[in-house]
Amino acid sequence: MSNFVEFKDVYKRYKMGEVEITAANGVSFEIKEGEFAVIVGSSGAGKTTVLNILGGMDSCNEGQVIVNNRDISKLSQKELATYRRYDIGFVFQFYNLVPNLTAKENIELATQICKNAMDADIALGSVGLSERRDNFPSQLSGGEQQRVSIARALAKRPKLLLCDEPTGALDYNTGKNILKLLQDTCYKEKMTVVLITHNQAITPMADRIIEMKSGKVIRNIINNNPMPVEQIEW
Amino acid sequence: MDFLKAQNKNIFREIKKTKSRFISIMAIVALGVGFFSGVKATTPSMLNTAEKYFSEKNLMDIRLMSSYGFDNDDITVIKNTDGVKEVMASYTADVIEKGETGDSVIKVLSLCDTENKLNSQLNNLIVKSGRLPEKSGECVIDNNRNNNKYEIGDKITLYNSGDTEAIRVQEFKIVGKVVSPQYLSYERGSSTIGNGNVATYIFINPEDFAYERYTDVYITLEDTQGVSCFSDEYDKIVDKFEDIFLDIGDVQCERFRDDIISNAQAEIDKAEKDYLQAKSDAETELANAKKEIDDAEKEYNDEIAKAEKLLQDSKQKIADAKIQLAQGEEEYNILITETPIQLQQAQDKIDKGWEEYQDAKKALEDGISEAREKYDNEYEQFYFVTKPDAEEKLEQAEILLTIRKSSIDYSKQFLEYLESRPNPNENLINITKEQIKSSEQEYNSLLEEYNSGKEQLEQGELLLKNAKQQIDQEEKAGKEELEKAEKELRNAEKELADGRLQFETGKITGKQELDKARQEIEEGEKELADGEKELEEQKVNGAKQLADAKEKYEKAKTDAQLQLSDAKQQLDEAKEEINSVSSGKWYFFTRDYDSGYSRYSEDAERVDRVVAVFPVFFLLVAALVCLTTMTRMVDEHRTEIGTLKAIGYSNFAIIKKFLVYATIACIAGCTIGIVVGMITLPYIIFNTYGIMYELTNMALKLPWSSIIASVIVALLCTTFVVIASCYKSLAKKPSTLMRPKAPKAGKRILLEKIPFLWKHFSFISKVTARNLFRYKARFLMTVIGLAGCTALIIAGFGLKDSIGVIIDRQFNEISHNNTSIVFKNPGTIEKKSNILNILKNDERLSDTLLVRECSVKISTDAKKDTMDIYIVVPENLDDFKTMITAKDHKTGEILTLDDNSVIVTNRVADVYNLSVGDTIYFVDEDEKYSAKVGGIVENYVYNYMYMSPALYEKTTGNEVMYTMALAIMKDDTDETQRQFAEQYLQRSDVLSIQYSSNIIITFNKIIQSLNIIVVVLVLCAGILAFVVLYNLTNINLTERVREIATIKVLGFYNKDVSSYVYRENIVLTILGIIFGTLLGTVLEGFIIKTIQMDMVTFPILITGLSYVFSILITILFAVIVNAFMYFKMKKIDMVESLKSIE
Repeated sequence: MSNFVEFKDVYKRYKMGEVEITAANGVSFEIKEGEFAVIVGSSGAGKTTVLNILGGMDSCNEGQVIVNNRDISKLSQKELATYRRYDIGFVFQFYNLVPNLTAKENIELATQICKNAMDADIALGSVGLSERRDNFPSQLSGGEQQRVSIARALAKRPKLLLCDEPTGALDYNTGKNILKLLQDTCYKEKMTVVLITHNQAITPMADRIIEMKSGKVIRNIINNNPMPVEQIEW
Repeated sequence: MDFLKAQNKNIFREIKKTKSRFISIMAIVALGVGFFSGVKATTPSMLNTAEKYFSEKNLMDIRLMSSYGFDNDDITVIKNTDGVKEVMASYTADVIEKGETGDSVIKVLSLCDTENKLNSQLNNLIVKSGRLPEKSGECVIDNNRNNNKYEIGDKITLYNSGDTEAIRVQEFKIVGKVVSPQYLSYERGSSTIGNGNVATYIFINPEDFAYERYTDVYITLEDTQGVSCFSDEYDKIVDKFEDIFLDIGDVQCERFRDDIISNAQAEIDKAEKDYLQAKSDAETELANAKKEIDDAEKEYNDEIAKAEKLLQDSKQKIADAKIQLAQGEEEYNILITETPIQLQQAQDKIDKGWEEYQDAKKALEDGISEAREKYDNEYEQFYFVTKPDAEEKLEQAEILLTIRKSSIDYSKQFLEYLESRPNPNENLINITKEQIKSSEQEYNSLLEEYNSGKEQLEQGELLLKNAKQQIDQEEKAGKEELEKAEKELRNAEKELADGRLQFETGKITGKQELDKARQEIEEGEKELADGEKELEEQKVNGAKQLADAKEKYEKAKTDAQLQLSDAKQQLDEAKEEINSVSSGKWYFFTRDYDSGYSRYSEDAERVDRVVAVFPVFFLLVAALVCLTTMTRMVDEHRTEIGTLKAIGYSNFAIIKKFLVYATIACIAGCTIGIVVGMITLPYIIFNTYGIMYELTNMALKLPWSSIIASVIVALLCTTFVVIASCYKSLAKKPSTLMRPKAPKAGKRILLEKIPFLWKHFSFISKVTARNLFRYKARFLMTVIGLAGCTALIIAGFGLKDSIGVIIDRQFNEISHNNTSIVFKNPGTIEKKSNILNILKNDERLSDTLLVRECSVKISTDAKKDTMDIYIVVPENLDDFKTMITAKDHKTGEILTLDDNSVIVTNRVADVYNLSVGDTIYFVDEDEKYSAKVGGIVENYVYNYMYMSPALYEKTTGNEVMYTMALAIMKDDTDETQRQFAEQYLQRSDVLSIQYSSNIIITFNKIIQSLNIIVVVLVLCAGILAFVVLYNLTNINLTERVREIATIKVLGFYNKDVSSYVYRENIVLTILGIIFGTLLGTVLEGFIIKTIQMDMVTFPILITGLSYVFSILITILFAVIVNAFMYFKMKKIDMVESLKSIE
């Protein structure tokens, strides 16, 4: 199988006042299509930077980022917006739902700008929240909010689903449910999923584990026998 | 202590960190407080400036004038009056400067007469350039900026007006330019001479005046020192002296009565003499004119007769020419019919000639050839027959002769021999001799025969020759004759051809000549006709001119008679007056005498009233901005508050941070606002009025009460807001506060209950709709701010509309008279009939109406306070309608004045709450009367009560004493006005001429000064709109930065994102504009009501265009803010914004 995502010597530097921080210090890795990849590392390892670059929210200073045979590191702001619109689904740690829109409307917010989007009700159904469609985010629990957030990401039928610590703000069981939902989606929809976490314990569920430290990839392991989420304990 | 330090540090870090929030609170407070205090400072500062100026220049409080002037005795009495501080007696006169464009009136004032020990230095001049006069013949001139024509060093020549000798020196050298505190505005007042307008003033040394007595006494009072001259207290103090001085005046004037009477008598005597002189002059002139007209008539008749004769002659000429033409035509006809016959005859003759010629030629030729033939025969006979025969015979004869000769010669030689022999044989000799002899005889006969033969031959030849010659001669002669005949014929032919040619050309030229003659006749006839026509025209014209001249003469005659009778009447009046001459009077004037002075305080107070309402908006909006900003700040500090609370700090300690933060922002804002407000607004407004007033630099007067009040209000607002917003948070448990902030819950709004509408909303619209109702404070702030912005602009434009329309409405739609001729003394209709007739005959005026117009005090039962208005009693009601259109103030219906009730103007009705049928009291000539109100009419300038003469006479019991004439000047150009005034001001019964155009000019100046107020308003409105919209967008952006970042991540383009944010702004702007339009309309009405003056009534009016402009300007402000925010929004960094919540 070909490489769906490929990072080639990617550097990202930030200026924080007088200090220059190198968040990505020559990152190189690859992810194959349909894989469930987990990028793991401690805080400040550069994993969020990598995810942001991959999601078209940030750009790198050096190197190439190839997604689906396209180098996205050279795209303009407008092209990046189009890239995010059609190719990427994002799931955040804090859900980032629009508080003024109901669950269904939050999904429709994403689907209305997509050409080939899923019906909002189906998307909600797929995360098991059909009955909460008319609730505002504040009326939903954290897990429910995250599921709406995932539904919003999935409704766009993205080629790549990016998840930034999706369980970070959730309790153990809810987090597990969310991970399960993501894993199932990956397998059922043959979607490439990239998830970042600082929690080493959940790595066994991934097809590929990329470990980062100090802005570098220190390991890129393929796990031929990913475990179902239910069996993982942490 | 450490804690305090930490707290302080915390606050200052907070300020540093949230600069834009701090600045926005500070800015709105600065704006509100600055605008308020700045505006509040303007009026006191303007008044203060004037007060300071007046007291510095020691401006008089009272000015006394007297019909007879003042002497030192008067001045001493005045000076010794209780309460009088200083006096200055001086001279004033209006004189004439003759100029190219007409005469102008110059007011001449005297400098302080320092010789007189009673005098103090009052009304000090400000020397702008040059110096004060030092000696006689020098002057200083008005530094009016409209007065560029005079420069220092120039000389002006002045002429006394009329008979009074006011100045003894005529030529003055300008040595300086000054500003006099007696004139506050640039208006120089009116005059009773020249064109009635004082152009400029000059100050000269007192000794240059010719007067014996002072004309003016200026007085300052003890009690007015330190009292604001714009206060009521001042007015009270000054007014008290009116009666005092007038009483003194009555006593003092009594002394001069006798002098006056005797002087006046002398003057009247002179006037009578002048009158008689004028009368006889006029009569002579009229007689001359009559003679001229008679002469002209005679000349006219002569000319006509002459012209008619001329015409008659030319008619005769044409008739003659016609006869000649007829003859010519006849001749021509004969010529063209007969000439061809003659020509034909000539032709025939010639033909015959030719025939004859041919015959003669033939006869000649025949004769000649016959002769030649005969000759040839004879020639032949002779030469071929006769001659040879003869020649043969001759030859034979010759031979015979030769022989004979030889025989003779031989015989002779024999004889000689014989004779020579010596015994000659005489017989033989004889015989020989005989023989010789016979031979010679024979020979001789032979020779003779021969010679005759020869001769015969020769003769024959000669005959032939002669015959030939004869033939040739005959031929030649014949030929010559023929040639001659031919030549003659040819000549004849040529002559004929010539004749023909001549005939043809003659035919053509004859025709041409005839045609020409005909044409000439026609032309002659036409000319004749023209001549006749012209004569007719000239006859008519001449007659008309004559008639005109006669009419003019008649008019001049009536005019002259009118003038003479007028003069007579004036003379009689003067005579009458002298008998009833009063003992003179003093006149009392205050500083109000200068119209600029009284207008200045009104203007200053108007500023206060116009602009005073606006700061309310700013304070309100400032409070709302603080509220939203501080609420947001407290919200952001939930966790901190919770933490502090959990640690155990008291509520106050927690609030303190926010309080201090807000207070610092507020105090900083107040300071900046007050400083900037004080150094800008009063100066801007003061300088605007500087266009109309001559004032020194502004003396700023701080309005402490307003400053303190505004600072307190601002502080209260902010602290209250802080406490209110903290209170909400503090009421919650620390645990709740420490939890991550729950974004304000989304809520269903009313609109969603209408699914039909809601379904059609896009997501952005839904978000907008929900957001609008979610943040009510912001909603309110923005709508109020923008409504305020629109309202301010509308009020500004509306103000201009209202004032701008007055001129047109008052002087085009209501009063149609543009000229008022004010009489020196009021008089009955009989007394005024003369001047009225003269005015009616004046071609410059189209309508004239006598009116009694004077100031009366009115009151009603309900309201005892009096108000000064003008009562107008027209001489007749028909002409009144032409002069004034009385339109009902509500319905616009035209009202007519009747003999039962009066009509009052709308402002009077407003002030006294009058309606039709109410009773109104008025005081005329110190008597109080009542009248019923029969109508309320629209009016803008001054306040009037119109009353019919019949009603006036019925009510007061007095005959109407007319005070002035209203007139409509057809062509009210400056030039006509000037000439008109110059002419009428010479009359002894005319006091002044007033033109509406002067009032119009004043109004235009007020409107000009309003422009800057409008600009200030628009500017302030703009700042208001900016602050509000900037705040709203800023708060929206910071508060919803995650939301915006989220939708950016979802793939919204920049324009989608901006419309997501702007939708709210747009809706709020539209709402603000709608409310602002309503508010502005109300506000303008309110302002107009507040600025109403006694003299001018402002209509409440806003034009459609003003609305459109105001709305467009507001939209423009909104667009600018939104454009600015677009860049801010574009810069939002997704990564930063979506980082985990702290």
